[in-house]
Order: sequence, then C-alpha cells, then structure tokens
Amino acid sequence: MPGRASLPVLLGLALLCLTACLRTGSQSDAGDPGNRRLDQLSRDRVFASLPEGAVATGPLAKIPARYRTPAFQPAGWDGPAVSLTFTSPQPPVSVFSFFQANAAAAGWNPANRNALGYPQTWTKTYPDGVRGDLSLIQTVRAHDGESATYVLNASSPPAVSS
Amino acid sequence: MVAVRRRQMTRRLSIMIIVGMLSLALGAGVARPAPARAAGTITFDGSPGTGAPPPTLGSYNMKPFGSDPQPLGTDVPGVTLPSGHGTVGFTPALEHLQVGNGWNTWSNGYTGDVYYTGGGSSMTFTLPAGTSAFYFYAEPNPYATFEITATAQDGTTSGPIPVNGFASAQYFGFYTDGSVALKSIEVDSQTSFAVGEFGIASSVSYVALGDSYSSGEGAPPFFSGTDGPTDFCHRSLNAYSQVLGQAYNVTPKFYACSGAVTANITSQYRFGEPPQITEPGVDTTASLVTMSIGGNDAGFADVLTSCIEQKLKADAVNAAIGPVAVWLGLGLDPSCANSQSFVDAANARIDNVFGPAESTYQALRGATSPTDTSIIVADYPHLFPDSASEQSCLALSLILTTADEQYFNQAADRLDGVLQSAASQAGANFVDIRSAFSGHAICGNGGAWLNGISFASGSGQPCTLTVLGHCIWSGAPIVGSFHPNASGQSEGYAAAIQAYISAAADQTPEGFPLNPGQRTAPSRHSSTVPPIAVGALDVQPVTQGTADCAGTFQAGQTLTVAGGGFAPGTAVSLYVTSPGLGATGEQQVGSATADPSGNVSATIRIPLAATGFTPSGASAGLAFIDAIGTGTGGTHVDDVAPAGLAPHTSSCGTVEPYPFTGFFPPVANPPAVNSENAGRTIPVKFSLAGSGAVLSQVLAPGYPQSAPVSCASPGQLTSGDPTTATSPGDGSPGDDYNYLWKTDKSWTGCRELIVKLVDGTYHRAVFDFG
Repeated sequence: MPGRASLPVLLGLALLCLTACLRTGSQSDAGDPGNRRLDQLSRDRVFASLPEGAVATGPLAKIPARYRTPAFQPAGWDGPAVSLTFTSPQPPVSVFSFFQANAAAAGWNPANRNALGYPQTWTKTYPDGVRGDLSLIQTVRAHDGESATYVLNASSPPAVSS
Repeated sequence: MVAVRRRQMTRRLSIMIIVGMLSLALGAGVARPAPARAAGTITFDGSPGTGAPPPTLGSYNMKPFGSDPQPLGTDVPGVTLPSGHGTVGFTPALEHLQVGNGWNTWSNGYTGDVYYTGGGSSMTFTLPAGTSAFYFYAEPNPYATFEITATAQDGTTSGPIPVNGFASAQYFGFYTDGSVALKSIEVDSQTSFAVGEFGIASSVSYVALGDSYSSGEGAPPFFSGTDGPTDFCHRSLNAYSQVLGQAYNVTPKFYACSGAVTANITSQYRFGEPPQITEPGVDTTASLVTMSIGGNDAGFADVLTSCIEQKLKADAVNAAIGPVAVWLGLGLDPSCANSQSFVDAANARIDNVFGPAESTYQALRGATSPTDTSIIVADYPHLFPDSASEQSCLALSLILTTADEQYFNQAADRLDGVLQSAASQAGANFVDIRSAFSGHAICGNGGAWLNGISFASGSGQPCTLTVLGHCIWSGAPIVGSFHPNASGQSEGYAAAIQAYISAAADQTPEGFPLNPGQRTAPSRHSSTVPPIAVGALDVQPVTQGTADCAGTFQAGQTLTVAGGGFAPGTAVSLYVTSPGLGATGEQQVGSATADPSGNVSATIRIPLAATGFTPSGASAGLAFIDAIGTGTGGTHVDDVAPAGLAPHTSSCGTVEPYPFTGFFPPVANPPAVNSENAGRTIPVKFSLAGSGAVLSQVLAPGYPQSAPVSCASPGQLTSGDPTTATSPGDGSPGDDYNYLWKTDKSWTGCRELIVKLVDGTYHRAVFDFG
C-alpha cells in the first residue's frame, strides 16, 4: 500500500525538516573570541579585595560567552560574566560603602542605588571600548548573628550579539 | 427612563423653593478652602472650583476619563480607566446618567457621563493600585446649596464644601507625595448627589522582567529594536505587562527577553542586553516587578522539540516499513514519554531549576525595596488540553502522541511546583496561571490562548538554516510556537496577575501585594520530632518544622519514610533530589513494595553529597524525597512533583552542613599557628557527628589542598595545591576521620591547609615550617 503510506511519510518528513530548522541557527564563533572579554572581567581590580571580615565562598566563577538556541525562540549569544559570592558579618552599610569606594577606584560609574543610598550597579567602558556592568546584590540577609551573603557580578556583552 | 423622570421632577420642585436661598448663597460667596497640604502624605486641592480641570494635579499629569459605554439608566459598580483596563469602583453602585440625558446641569461646559447616588447621600471611590492622584466633580441633586465632603483613606479631607446644585459641579482633587497610593475616597453629602468628570494619574514604577512568556514571543507585533537585526528579545506590544501597565496607568520598564534563563536576569547579557537586574529602575524605586523565568533553564522547549522529532521520525519510518513490520516490533516508538530514562532526565532537569530560581528571586528582593516593592512571579500553563478528544486534534496528533501531551502537562505541573517552592523560599509572590488557561490550551475547546506550531513571530534570527556556512533560509517563521498568543497574554497572564493584586490582603504603600515573609534556614537541634507529611509521604525524624520544606535533614542521616496511594504489590522506588547529587541532581536511595493497602514504608539514608547550601548555613539547599511507583488506577506513575501530583508522595527539607567542631590535636585550630618540620607526616583528625562514612566520602574532590600564606595574616583561602597522604585513610565507616598529610621537605615559611568537605564547607589550619 505505497499510496497509503506516502502521505504520512511526506508529512512527517516535511515537519521533521521544519523542526530540524529550529536547531540550525547561525552560530558564529565570535561571541568572545579567545575569551578576551571574560579574561578582562576576571582581571578587574574590583575583585581584588573584599571588605574586612568577608569570606569568599568559592573561587571567582568565570562564565564564558555561549551561543544558545532555545527551541521556538530566537537564537543568540549570552555574554561572558564573572561572579564572586562572599559572606560578611559586617552590616550591609559597611559592605556597600566599601564597594562604593572600591568600584570607583576600579573605574566603575554608579547607576542604580539601594535602600541604603549606596550604589548597587555600576557601568564602565574598558580601554578597548567594551562595556562592563557590575552589580552587588545581597542575596541572603543576616539573621541570628550569622553572616549575610552577597554576589558581586561583572558582565560584558558578547562580541557578536546574535 | 425612570431615572430621568425622577431627577427632573426633583429639580422642578426644588427650584421654586430655594431660589431665594440660592441668591443669598451666591451673593455671600462660597468660601472654599485654599489648597493646603493635609496631615500625612495625601493632599487635597479644590482650587479649580467649578472651573475646568487643570491638566495637572500636584506634580501629576492627569488623564481624563473617556466616554463610558455602559448602558444609561443602569446601576454600575464602577467605570473603566482611560487606558481601557482596570476600574475605579463605586460603593454602592451608582446610576449611570449623562449631562443632558438624565442629569440636567453641571459646570465648566462638561456634558459627559455622571453617576447618581439615587436616594443615598454617600458613596466611596475604590481606586486601582498605584493611584497617585484622582479628581472628580460632584453636584447635589436639588437645585440648592448643600455641603459635600470628600475624605481619602488616611483621613485627609476636603472639609465640608458648599456646592450649588444648579450648574455648579465642584472639583475635588487628591494627590500623594509618591510614597503612598490613593486607595479610596469617601464622599458624603447632606443630600443625594452625582459625581463625574474624573481624572487619574499614577506614579507607579513597574518593571517587567522574564523570558519569552513575559516578552510576548507568541503575540507579535514587537517593539522596534527587539526584532532584529541584532537584538531578538521580541518584546511584544501585546505582552501581559503592557496590559497591566494600562490597568495601572504606567508605562512598564520592559526588559523581558525571549530565550532568557535565570542567568540573564542576574548575571549575563542576552542579545547584547545587560543582565536584567542591572537595568534602570530595578532598584528600590520599583513598585511592581513581574516575571516568568525558569522554563528555559529546564530546557522545556528543547525537550518538547525532541519529542516532536521522535514522533515525526517514528511515523515516517513506521509508515514506510508497514504495519506488519511494526507489529513484529521493528518499528520505532513515537512517544518519548515511554522512555523512563528520558523522563527521568527531563524531570531531574526541572528539579534542578529550584536553586537558580530561588537565587534569582532572592537577588531581586535584595535589589529592590523590602517594604515598597512587590515581586510577582508567574508560572507556566499546560500547553496541551486535558481531554482525549482535544488531545487528538489534527494539529497535535501530527506532532505528538497523547501520552507525550499528558507527560508535558505533568512536567509543567512539576516545574510550576518547583517555581512555587522557590518563590516561597525566597519570599516572592507567586501567581499560578494554570487555572486561567483551563480550556484554552492548544486545541482547547474554549479557544486556544497558546500557539501550536506557529508562523506568527517572524524569523527570530538572522539566518534560520545554514548549510556549509552559507545562509540558505533567512526567514523561517517558526519561533513563537507553544507560546501564549495575545489572548493568552491578556486574558490569561494579565488577568490572573491583576486578580491576584486585587485580592491581596497585605499591600505595599502603593497597593500591590506585599512580598511574603522570607523564610530563614531552620536552626539545628530541636527536641520536637514531628513527621513531615506532604501528600502521602511521611518522613521522620526531622529536627524541626512540620510544614513542607521546613524540616531539617542532615547529609548521611537515616530516615524512615512511609507513603500510600500505590497499587498493591507493586515496586516503589525512593529517590533523593538535591543540588549536590551529580549531574542529574538525584539518586535512588531505596525501594519498597506496596502492601495490600497500597502503603510503603522504608528506611533511607540521605546521600552524603546531598548539599547545596552556602557555608554560612544561611541559605540552605533543599532535598526532595520522592517515592515513585504505580498508581492504584494502574497508571504508571513515574514521577512525583513537590506541588502534588496524585498519587503524590513527596517531601523536602533542608540539608545542613556537617557539625564540624574543629581539628583535633596535634593540630591546633586558627588563630594558632602550628610549628612543624617540613617533610613530616601530620595526622589531621576531625569528627563529623552522624556522618557514618569513610574519609573519601566526606572530602570534596581534590581536597585537602595547601598554599603558602603570610604567618601574620594567613587569610582564608579556598584553593591551593593538592596535598598527598601517606595512606588512603579510609577505614571503617564512622564519624571520626584521620588524614595523614605528607608535607614537603622543601617547604619553608607558613602554609595553610584547606580541607573542603562535600557539604561545601571549608576548614583551615596554619602551619609554620620555619
């Protein structure tokens, strides 16, 4: 019964081709060639020191740029990022005050401010013209005398954004 | 028409009686209070009097209301805002009239809609969340002068203002300093009256974050600049945030982006757009933050694509080889849900969304105001209908089996349960939109609010199909499939979120839902040992807490679990899911056979690597305990979600760090510095009560490590050079451990020993080798 079988075969192949197309977007290899932007973020002086008493909970996390092709959505690049998680027993005002000075010394310009009146996001332009974004977010508030947890994150756009 | 006759008759009687009083009142002049700041943060302004409404009130640009399409002569509960969404409510309902059509006079030339109290002498306006300024006019029913008083919810009042009922409707305006919202205004008079000629303003700062379900991927058109050539965030004019913005008189700060994962909110660029948390307005000035996020972290769409491909491939092959070959078992299975490994992997990926989602919500709470910002998280709908007939519609039967459709609905439930738990843990509001979408899935009888395979959204990328580096198809219009259409955005998401906001009992100053109290990690050691009961699964002992996810487990702890609802005599597998358990995040920890009543009971041990907390212990990871088997109805139940799928047997609690009490002699703990000879073997002893393991099971891979440090200021390192031991150190399982550290003869000065355990904690000691 080749005639009966041919319709589903053709339909299946046509739809198979259609869905295959979802997975074949243009994937440039130029999101962050040589991880240059990632390395630049990693070397930023803002990560060089922590407030007194603060303890990093792990090494500096380096997240390379990557090209993602989520199904049924546009494909494109995620930029490189670097983040450091640390705990501090000091009051939040001391931590944010420290980074207000530390980020300024590292060339970051304040943007959004938190309830304490201190910057919690910054931007800068690196010497090679690449933009950087920095954020300091308290993710876990201190309680019962324990330390609060903070994440300091720096990111840059991918060299090719789509 | 009744209303018209009543109103006109009243006027004819009144005018003969009070004409003298009217002249007297006018001659004496009507004393109006000057605009003055009232106590508190709400201000009354009646200065326009009977004149036309000024374009501003306080510092706010006012939006006058348009024509009301509601039938004249009927009692109406409120009036729609100028945006077309949201309402100003009337209590009680007022009779809808128009100047010249049921109501004879007004002031300043206004001829539009008015609302009459009938026989009543008071009414109350209920204003939408985020209202910063509101004005109205009021005029008594009789052609006479009566006092009218308007009072805002905080007691700020106009005081009694004499208003003449003959063409002298009076302006009443209230505005805030932006720190609070106007919520209600009560209007009292000495007689019946009408209100009308409204204007409203808002100072709400609304931030719309999230992924493609929030950007409006399936509901084009898109805002300029978000549909290529480099940025494909696909932010839609029909997105639910736009509808909510209209309801609350505000233009959203719209940063949601198609394809976004949690990292694109907290840390990474997407399409050249910075992490959403760094965007302007994501700070303490935000009144409302909405989002959907987590679906892409779970790879939901990618898994769906795999199943579609499997179905299409199987159908093509099976049709080609014919039914006999298929009957002989030579065909392909069109359903991916029949593969236990496939389902297990997909479910594990969903469960692993908990950590990133909870961290994202925590970060947003940290970035915004703890008291003035409302963070609302929405989940995801069932993509597929519930009934067999709907599931078998042509559009779906070509691409998926009904078994797969049912699996994906269960997977949505599982993901939504994970997101709800994460929101609860982080202290974010959670809106479950599944019921709003009921009947509106793809092929749903109520009309689909979700796209099937859709050609709606444009190409979505510069080149859809590339062969050998050459773009051969630049505009395959396929993105937007399996996403909400405009109705899903408006009637599904926006309506559900708006209903949640309206129903909130605890509100921010601007009238949005307060974030739920943030849950803190439970403290260790409690004599209370109640069972955790979630669904049919009891777990004990727990050290604290009886609510779902509030209990405390410990890595290595032995627990008894008991559940029910299984088919008698069938096998039930017991799993622990936790961020520390390798790539899949889960581990089978036991099995049992359901008894004649369908109950199971078993002893399990929390795996030693089941962790996920930070060393401070302030943000603990969750461990899910699942019993998985066959349901009493014979349906294969391969999966259990924390939110409760029947037969649901699940529980979760916090895994705490090991109770490390310091190194034992001869090693002295910091700040002491141990003087040692280089090249010597140093016994590093410690104990972890209750761990019951061997040394290699409690040490993090690659540890201990050591690194040179300053003797005076050694710091707290987390990494160094790997160390070597003179023997493996693994004896019998127990709570005491001894690592025989072989030091190097060449070492001089101070060196820090770094011992990292599988629970993520670091422990250090400092040695001076001279």
